[in-house]
Amino acid sequence: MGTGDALISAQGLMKRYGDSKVVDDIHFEVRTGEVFSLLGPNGAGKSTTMRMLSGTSTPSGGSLRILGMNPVKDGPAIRARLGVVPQKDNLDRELTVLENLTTYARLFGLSRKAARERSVELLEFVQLTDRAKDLIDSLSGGMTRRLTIARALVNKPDVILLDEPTTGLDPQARHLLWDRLRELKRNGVTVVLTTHYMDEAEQLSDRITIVDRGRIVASGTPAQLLRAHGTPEVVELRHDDGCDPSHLPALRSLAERVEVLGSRVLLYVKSAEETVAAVHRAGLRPSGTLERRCTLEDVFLRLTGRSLVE
Amino acid sequence: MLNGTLRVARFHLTLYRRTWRATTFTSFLMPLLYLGVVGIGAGSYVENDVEGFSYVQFLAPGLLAVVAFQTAAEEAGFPLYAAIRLTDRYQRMLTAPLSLGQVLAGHLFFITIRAAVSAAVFCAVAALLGVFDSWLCLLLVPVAMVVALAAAAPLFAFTARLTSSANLMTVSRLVVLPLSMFSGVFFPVEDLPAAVQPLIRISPLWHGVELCRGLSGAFTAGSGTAPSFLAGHLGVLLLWAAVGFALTLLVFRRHLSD
Amino acid sequence: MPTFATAGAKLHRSGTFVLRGLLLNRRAWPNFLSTLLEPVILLLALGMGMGRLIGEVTVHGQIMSYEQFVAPAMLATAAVSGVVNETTYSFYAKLTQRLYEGYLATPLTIGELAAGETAWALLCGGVYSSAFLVSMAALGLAPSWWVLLALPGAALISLAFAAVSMAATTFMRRWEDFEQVSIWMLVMTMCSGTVFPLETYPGWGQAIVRLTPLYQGVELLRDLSVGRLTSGTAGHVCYLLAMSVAGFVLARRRLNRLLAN
Repeated sequence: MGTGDALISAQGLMKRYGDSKVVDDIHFEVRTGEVFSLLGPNGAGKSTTMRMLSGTSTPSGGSLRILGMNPVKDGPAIRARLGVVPQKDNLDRELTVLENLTTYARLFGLSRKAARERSVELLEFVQLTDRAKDLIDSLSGGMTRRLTIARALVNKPDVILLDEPTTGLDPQARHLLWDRLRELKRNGVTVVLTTHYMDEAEQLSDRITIVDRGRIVASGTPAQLLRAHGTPEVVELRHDDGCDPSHLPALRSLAERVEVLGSRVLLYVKSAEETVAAVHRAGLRPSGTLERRCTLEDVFLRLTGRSLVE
Repeated sequence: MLNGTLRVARFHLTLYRRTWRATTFTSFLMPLLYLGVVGIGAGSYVENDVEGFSYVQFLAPGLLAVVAFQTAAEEAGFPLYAAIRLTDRYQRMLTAPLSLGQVLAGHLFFITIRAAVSAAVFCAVAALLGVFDSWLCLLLVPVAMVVALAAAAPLFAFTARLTSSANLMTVSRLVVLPLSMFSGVFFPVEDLPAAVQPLIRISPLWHGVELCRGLSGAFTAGSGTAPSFLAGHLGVLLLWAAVGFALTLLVFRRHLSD
Repeated sequence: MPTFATAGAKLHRSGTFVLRGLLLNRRAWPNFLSTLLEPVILLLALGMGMGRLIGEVTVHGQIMSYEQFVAPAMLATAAVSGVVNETTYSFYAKLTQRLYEGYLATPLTIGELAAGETAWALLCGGVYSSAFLVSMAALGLAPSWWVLLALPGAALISLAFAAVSMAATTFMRRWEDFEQVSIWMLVMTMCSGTVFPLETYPGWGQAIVRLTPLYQGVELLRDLSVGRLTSGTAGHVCYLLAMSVAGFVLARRRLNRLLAN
């Protein structure tokens, strides 16, 4: 398969549990060698979609093709070339770190020798070599996540699926993980991840599909999304004693778009610096101002009226 | 001192009121099952009297002691381990205005009450079935409480030192089971090889069994063991309880302050 | 055929569960040892103690000592308990820790998973049965070499109980439900003509007991260990086979429901 071909292709994907549609008419494409993200708040159906991708869950409707095959019919064949990192670690608590990798390798058909070699190599990659003989309970959250990623790489997969990989990790662990993912991409592995962190989606991904409540909200590269649904910069005005509604018409004339979020007013503008000056010229005195770049969080807010992280 | 102990005991009893159904079998049905099946089954084969009793009358007091013993072993095993290591119930109890001694004594008192309830039910049913000749057998209930105490106190010390629950099943299989089998409950200990006799005669369960059987003998035919022997058995049980309690205090003080 | 779909590949994957069991039991040997000794302790107690009280017992017109009567029953118990532990507590722990979800994100199928876990349980049962057989011989309760025939018999008992046990465990919802396991095990052991001859029970009781799995297993072992192969023996074998099949079909269906929705 050449670069740019669709490794994963979902059309009208739907999953129903009882009466509720957890995933409703989702379509996306993942191209070989790229990093693709599904961005959305909790309950958007991201994990369900991931489970359908890995073949654990059967779609209620629509079509899904992975590596040119149907995950329901050709599950084992697909999973032989897939790596899966679930949201909650499901490592073997009764085995050591190294044993977790070697037993998993066996499930992919690796011989004992090959399994051991590969496991040692992977422990190096995720920097857990010195913990090889420890039991899982003695590892921190970041370490178990790294081990789960190592485990998902045991079969040298073409695609790796990660469901909210950095949730619950401290900033240092997050950045370490992002580094590993970037390196994977450099080595030609296609990365598919779900997340509710917009910085993660923005900084890691080549292309993003934003989902909310089981439906697609928008798709594109981070740059495309920001251009289409945002402005270059944002000014946040904080009013500690509430925002006076009579000021709003004046603010609206200063910006392309205005959003009110509680005690904050967001002004979507081309240049933040100029706008702040204009606000002061208009005689308005907010308690505080913040100038920043427009992010995917703003895009989500624009498209759904809600924020990514509650 | 007593007030605190009673409060702790009442706490455990309240918990037990919610979970008692789960232990119905081991506490109430199992001993009666043994009495019925083994009593009838073996009883039909054993023609002669065993130590002066019919087989069923030989078996019943021993079963009473075993019930108390197993109840104590059960409570002092996994539930205690869970309360110390898996949840923080013990830590929380110790932050209340109670001394360690009161917390432990209260818990042990609760265990004796559980044993008493099981024993009472067993006695009542056995008396109704005619196994015990007189309702004086209910005097065996306090004896069951002492047996439970003698077993629970040292086990508390053991469980408190465990850092993994894996060894609990091992204890149950290699200590509780052999003791239950070889302490003169189902057959006289004299039948066992001489080498193990000293070991058996130390165990609290054996003393409990002898005490129960001796007392029940006193109610029935007025036969049975001399009162001095009975007092001796009681003394050993109380000794086990006291030494066990002292050890437990020591272990808790040393290992629970981390 | 693709490499992962061959029979060899399937065996390799299923074998992972046996390997896993060996790895972690290397560290948990006290538990292993105590499970091994449990039926031996019972045999000693029943043999030395009760044997002396009871004397001789007549079964199927044959007179034998109580120890000889009880030994096959204890062997059956060893075969069952060796398997029940692995297919209840251990199995349930793996289910609730979502260990299998991780394993199923590989070419492993649910059928291979069930086969692998069963193989491990059977290995456990086999080890315990063999150890018990050796103890039996050491205590002089193995009358002839026929007793070796009891091993495949014990394996069949292990298989049947493993199947039903796994199926039952898929229905458990809380750890408390497992109390039922030890309870029914005990009731079954006491009341199935194993510790006392069937003749002790009233007629209607005998009819019920004859239908219970442990009774069938023990009778099979009694036949095999003296080399008496009759149509009754075949009947016991069929019963246990049917029990295995039923258990596995149910377990498979339940696992599909639990692990792949």
